[in-house]
Amino acid sequence: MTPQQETLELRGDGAARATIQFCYHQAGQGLPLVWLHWLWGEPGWMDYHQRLAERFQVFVPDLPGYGQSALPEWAKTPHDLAVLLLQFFDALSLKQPIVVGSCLGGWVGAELALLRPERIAKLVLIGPLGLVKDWTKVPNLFYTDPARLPRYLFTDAVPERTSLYVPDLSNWTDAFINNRNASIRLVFDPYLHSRSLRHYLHLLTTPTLVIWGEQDPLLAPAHAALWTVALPRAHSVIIPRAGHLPYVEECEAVIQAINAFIPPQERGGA
Amino acid sequence: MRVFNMALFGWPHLPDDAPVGTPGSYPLSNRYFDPVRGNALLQQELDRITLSDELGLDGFTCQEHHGGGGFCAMVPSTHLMAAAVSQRTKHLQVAVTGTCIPLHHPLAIAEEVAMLDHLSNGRFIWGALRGFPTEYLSYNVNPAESQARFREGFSLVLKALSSEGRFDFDGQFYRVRDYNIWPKPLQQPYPKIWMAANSLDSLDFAVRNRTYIATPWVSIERTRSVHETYYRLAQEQSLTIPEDFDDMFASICALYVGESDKKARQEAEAHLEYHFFRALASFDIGTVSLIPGHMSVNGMRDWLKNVTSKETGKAMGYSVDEGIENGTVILGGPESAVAQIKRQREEGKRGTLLAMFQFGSLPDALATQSLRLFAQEVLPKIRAI
Repeated sequence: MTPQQETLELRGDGAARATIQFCYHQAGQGLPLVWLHWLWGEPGWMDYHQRLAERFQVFVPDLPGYGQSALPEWAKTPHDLAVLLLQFFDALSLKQPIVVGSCLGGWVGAELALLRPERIAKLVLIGPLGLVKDWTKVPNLFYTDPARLPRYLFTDAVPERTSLYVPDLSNWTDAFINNRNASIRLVFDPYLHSRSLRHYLHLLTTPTLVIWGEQDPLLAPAHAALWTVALPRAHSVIIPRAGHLPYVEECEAVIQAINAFIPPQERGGA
Repeated sequence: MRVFNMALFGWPHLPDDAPVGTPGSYPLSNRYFDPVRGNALLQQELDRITLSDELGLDGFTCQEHHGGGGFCAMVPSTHLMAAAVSQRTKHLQVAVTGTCIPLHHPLAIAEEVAMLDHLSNGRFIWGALRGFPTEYLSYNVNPAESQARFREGFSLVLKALSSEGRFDFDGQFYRVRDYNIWPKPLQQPYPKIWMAANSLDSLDFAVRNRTYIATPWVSIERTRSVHETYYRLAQEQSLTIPEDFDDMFASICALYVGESDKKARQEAEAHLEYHFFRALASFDIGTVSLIPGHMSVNGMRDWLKNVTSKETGKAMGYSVDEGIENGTVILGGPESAVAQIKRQREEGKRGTLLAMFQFGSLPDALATQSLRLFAQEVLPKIRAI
């Protein structure tokens, strides 16, 4: 299955709605599922997208500011990204997709569900940013020896696997530099979290699955409980032998958890 | 040629095993800072600035650096240092090169600039600086906003300095309603402004705001090209260039004058090397520049080419001879010094030298000896250049 790669130009209305461009990959048939990527962007159409596309119609957009998707000047937070993503949903007539978000994408997914609960069938948050126990103890992704970066994200930093997500310094592409620039703009302060989000989460009634890598070196799996305690309809699945991007290290375990959360007979509202 | 004493207030006592220039080494651990030695260094440097005034140098300047991350310098507040110098000196111009605008409230900057102008009886020159991304991390200011905050902050400082009566300001980062500063500066509408500019973007900003240029630590070739670019940009936009622009066109260098070329080298070489490979490395330049947001994609790509081709932490370091050749070092007996400074003016278009008389681990006595020799033997011969 070869995914389609599309660019969507959204014309603003001169007032509230932004003129913005979205780039995305799309493949598969079935219930629509939107995959929201992690902090430094998706390297492309990956095996876990492929696995999901066996059951779902999968959309993988570059979030605003990443890849070729533009970030308007006023947009500075994951909440702002959620507002922009709703324009993307409208343009593709995604009435009630499943939203799967990893890391930054998980935070954006939660913001989406808070903004428009009726627009999301089910929510899967994979090691979401947004709630952090003690930010001063979380590794600094923005100032460190670049050689150390893979160890902040993966349990077993095998270059063949990790270099797509954190390339060696000599292979930093313009796209990767751009994505990092976008990321610091969105989550620099407060570092990787919001001071208000946890006070909103009791309003988020969308059925939610929280997935966490048991060995997540960035945010320890104890963070999963911050979400499941605050959300009225959530449970968590911990993935053994996996880090911050568990679908990279333990793809099948993550796919199984998502499939179990969305049984085949279930019909979405799309 | 005009000469300012640029005082770094650097730390000469770093042990060999102190981690500088290694990834993540900013901020420098302040366990290395000995308060008694630090105080002595500060007072000695202030004495040398007073002496610079008596010996007829044109000015004094210092730079804002935080966390020991720039030459291990102890001037997180240039405005405080300028205030101190303004009270110790009578004639020389008191400059800062400069203030990291986004790390302070622009209204506070404007108010302090006005105060400094009065404290110095109108001898003050302000400098506008963006600073290093590490300093943004420390002050929790988003590096991705550094450029926009710098530009907006700069226009607010100018508005506050020059407004007659109350004004409003509606920016993306700063908003002011119905305020005016008190006092106004003595020099009207405000003191001269140096901007640390090097890239095309920042030069364009400088041209449009009619500021003077103080280039960072760069080669003669580079200052000539910056000078040319400034003139070209001004011409393209039909903007006038300040009359004294060439004389104010400033560049940083390390300067040491000995009795002879041989003696100068014997006395200063090791201390210059300390400056290049220890103090400069305290910027942790290899890692600092990888902080996202501060640089554009193009800027970062160019930088990576440079950094990955050199040993991390030594990206800015070079030998003393290379330094003399590229114009960041003036070293020799009086005659050589005169010749080197002539070349700086002719080939580098430099009109003001921001000269470090103390650098690296150079002891106080040698720095003072060199300053005296410079004032006696060199300064009179370069006045007319």
